[in-house]
Amino acid sequence: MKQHSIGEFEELVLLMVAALHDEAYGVAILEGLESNLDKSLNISAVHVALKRMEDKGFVKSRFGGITEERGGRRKRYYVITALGKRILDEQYELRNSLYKRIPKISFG
Amino acid sequence: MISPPRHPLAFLRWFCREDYLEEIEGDLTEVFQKEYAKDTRKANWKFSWSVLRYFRPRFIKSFRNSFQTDSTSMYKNYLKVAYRNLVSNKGFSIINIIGLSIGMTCCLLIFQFVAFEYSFDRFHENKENVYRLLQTYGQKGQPMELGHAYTAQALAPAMEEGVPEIVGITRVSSDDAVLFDAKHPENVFEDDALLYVDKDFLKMFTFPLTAGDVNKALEPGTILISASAARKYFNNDNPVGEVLDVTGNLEKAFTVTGVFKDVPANSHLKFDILLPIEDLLRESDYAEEPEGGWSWNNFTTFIQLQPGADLHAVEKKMTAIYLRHRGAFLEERGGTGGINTQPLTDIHLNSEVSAAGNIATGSYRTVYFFLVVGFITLIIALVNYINLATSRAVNRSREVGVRKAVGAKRNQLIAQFLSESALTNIAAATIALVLAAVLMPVVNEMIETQLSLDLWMNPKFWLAFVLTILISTLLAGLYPAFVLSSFKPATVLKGRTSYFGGHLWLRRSLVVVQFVASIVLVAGTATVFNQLNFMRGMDLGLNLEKVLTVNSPRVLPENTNRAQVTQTFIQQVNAIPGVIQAAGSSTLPGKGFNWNGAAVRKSTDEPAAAIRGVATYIDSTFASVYGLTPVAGKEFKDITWSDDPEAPWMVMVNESTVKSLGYTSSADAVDQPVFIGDYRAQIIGVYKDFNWSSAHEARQNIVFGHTSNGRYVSVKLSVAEASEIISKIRTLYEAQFPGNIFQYAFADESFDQQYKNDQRFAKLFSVASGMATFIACLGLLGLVAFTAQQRTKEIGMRKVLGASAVDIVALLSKDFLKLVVVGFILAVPITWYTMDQWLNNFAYREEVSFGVLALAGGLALLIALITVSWQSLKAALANPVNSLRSE
Repeated sequence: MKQHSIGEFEELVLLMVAALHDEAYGVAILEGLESNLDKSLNISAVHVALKRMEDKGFVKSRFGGITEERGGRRKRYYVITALGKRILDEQYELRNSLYKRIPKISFG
Repeated sequence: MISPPRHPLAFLRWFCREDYLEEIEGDLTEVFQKEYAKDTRKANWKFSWSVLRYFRPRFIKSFRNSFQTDSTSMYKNYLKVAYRNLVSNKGFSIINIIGLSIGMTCCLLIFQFVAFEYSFDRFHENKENVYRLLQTYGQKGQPMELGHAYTAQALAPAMEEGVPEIVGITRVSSDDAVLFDAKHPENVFEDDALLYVDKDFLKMFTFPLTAGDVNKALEPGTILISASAARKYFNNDNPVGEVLDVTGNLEKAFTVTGVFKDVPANSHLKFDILLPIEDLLRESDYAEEPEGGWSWNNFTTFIQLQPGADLHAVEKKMTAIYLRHRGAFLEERGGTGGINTQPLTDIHLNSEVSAAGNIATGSYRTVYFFLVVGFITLIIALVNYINLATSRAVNRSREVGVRKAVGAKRNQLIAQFLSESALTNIAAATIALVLAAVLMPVVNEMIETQLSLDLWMNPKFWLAFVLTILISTLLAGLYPAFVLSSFKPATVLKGRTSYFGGHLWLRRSLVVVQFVASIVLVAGTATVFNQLNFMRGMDLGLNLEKVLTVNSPRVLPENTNRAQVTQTFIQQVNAIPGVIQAAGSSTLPGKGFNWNGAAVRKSTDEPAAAIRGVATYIDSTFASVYGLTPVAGKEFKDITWSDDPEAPWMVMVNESTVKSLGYTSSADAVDQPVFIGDYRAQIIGVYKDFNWSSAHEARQNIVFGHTSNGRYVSVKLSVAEASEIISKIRTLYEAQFPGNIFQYAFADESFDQQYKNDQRFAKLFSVASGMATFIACLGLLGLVAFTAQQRTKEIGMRKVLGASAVDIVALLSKDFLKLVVVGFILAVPITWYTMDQWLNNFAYREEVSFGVLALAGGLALLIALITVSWQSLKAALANPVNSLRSE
């Protein structure tokens, strides 16, 4: 079985796509991440991650309608695929199981 | 709504993949809008920065595909359309191709001529390091051009000893002689290309031997001959060991020790025979030359320097050595001197310097001149193309409109029109190659050159050829291409064509330029011929008509008195009916003097006051044969000769000498004692001034000495029909002087030989100007034909309304003829100036005559008129029904 790899930032973008569900397009993802991470990001980083994951089959996209503030350009909406969801689940499982193995450490 | 910054956006659009562009652009814009509300400057910055961040492989489109979209079929289409256009406008294409091919042929031939002239002496392996020595002479601090490259025999050994940088040195002295194979003394030959040279000669110059040993060549008593001379004299390719009997400056039998390849046509030294100079120096008068061999300047000296030697330092050393030997001598005469060098490869094109063995006649000026003429011819042809292409623009406007409407870019259209120009130029160039190859023998004969197709083997030639096609394609095609591609599709498709007139002024000025060039060339040719006629018809003060000249015998039996046999021969010739008188002399008019640069002064004057004169020797009857007019004193025939060895040298002079010496009148000069060189002399009489040399030369101070055994016998005939007399003289000559070759010439013809170069120039010039005019008229023809075609309907209506054929011809011709007249007006000052410059080469010159100018202008106008009216008459005579019914 082919090993699906996913980078840290990609994982964040994928989570955001999944969270926004049918409303995920470039700027929305960017803003969502910026407000959650509380730091400024460049839109190009989001696009790179999206395109890469689209190639890997984690997300798929479609064009939306024309809106005024975009100078007549259509939005491209992304939705998570089954594969994408499974990757997220696996990541979550992995982290969760590892987290649970942390012994109780007292920092007192 | 605020739109994002323009340039970054354009950049993004240029590089970004099309399937991503919309999304990225949209997102970027949206981000920008939001940022902009907060901070304008930062938003702009951030936008640009973001765009830059997309500049990475994932987002950059593949440029390869976009540039290659179907381009081959596009170019194929260009060529197809270009070809169809050429074929469908046969008349214009033919005019263009004929004009361009003639222009290119002229250029090709001229370039070939120029390349040949530049190739002189470049075949020598040591060409970089070989120099010819030139002696300089100055008086009162004023350096003077000596105009020759002759030096004394002692110069070479002194330089070889004193200048370590010299690795090879040779003296060259030319001679002419009669010669025969010792085994066949009955077959006598004459050769005028003998050179006496030092042993280094063969090492310095690249004249390879085909037989014999180089190291044993040029030993005393040996001779080297050229391959063709070997065949001529011995009928044998390898006559090594044979004996050749030579009678020139030496009378001696030489053993052949080698054969060299015939001297190439592009060598400034021309010779059939090489002889050791040692023999000449030991066995002739040179053995007793006064002043240790520094006295007689009869040798051309060549040196070869070490590679990288400092030429300036060498010249300084040589001058120092020269002055050590000659400084005192020069100082005594109030002069000073030095030694200069001239690179071997520079000799041919500076042929105003005379030297031993050098009979080539190159000139930088002629070469440059013909380069310019060649370019002018080509440019006139290019102008034709431009004019015809722009005038026909209106016919192509719909095509351009449609092409643009379906999406052709402007540079694609430019490429298309350039490919039409390229097609025309390539066709013309191909024809030009063939024409040049065919015409080369004709040109060779006409201007007496030896151009060959060898040059075409040189890759550089083809590079230049391709470059010429390229440049002429661009020159011809660029402007029309810009004009044609500038049309706005909406306007031209609507059929509005009013603005095509905008290029009329350009077309008109180009026609004017063409005619200025043609008229200048034609008037220039006429001026050149005018000057040639003037020189030929000039009153020389000498009568060369019906004068036959015969070379005196070279070979005489031992112990014969040369003077006596010559005088006997002259008397016998005098007895032939039809002969008025015969006379002997040491040179002939137009063949120079025996002594160039003789210092002549009154015996009371300081040596420093001497004037430069020239001297030659004549006998007592020479003056009456050539019709010299005595103006004072006696002549040689009037005086009795004393046997006193102390008696002064009796000389005749011309009026110029009298004036230059400062006598108030010719009569005053008679019987005056003078010094000529270091000889004590006495003027016995004065001749009226005459021209001994060509009209290039100003009048010289001529001194005649007396001789009884001249090298030439001149015979004045009473009849023009000379063949019978010549055969009688020949019989006499052959009986008297066995072992010699009877050679004769007519004095006027040999004198005209001096103008050979001028005639060559005139011929080339007239052909070039004829071609230029022809091409210009071709262009005019095309323009008129086109105008007539454009105005067919107008002409038809005018005829219907009652205009006569004459009115129509006038209507069509008037505009063009005006241009020719303007061209003429502009051509007058240009011709006047350039031809005045050219005429300054002559001491005796015609003025640029307005008659000639008017003739050239009239001729151009006439040819233009014929060209124009031919076409316009055709239009005027056409039946108006044909032009009008089709609407």
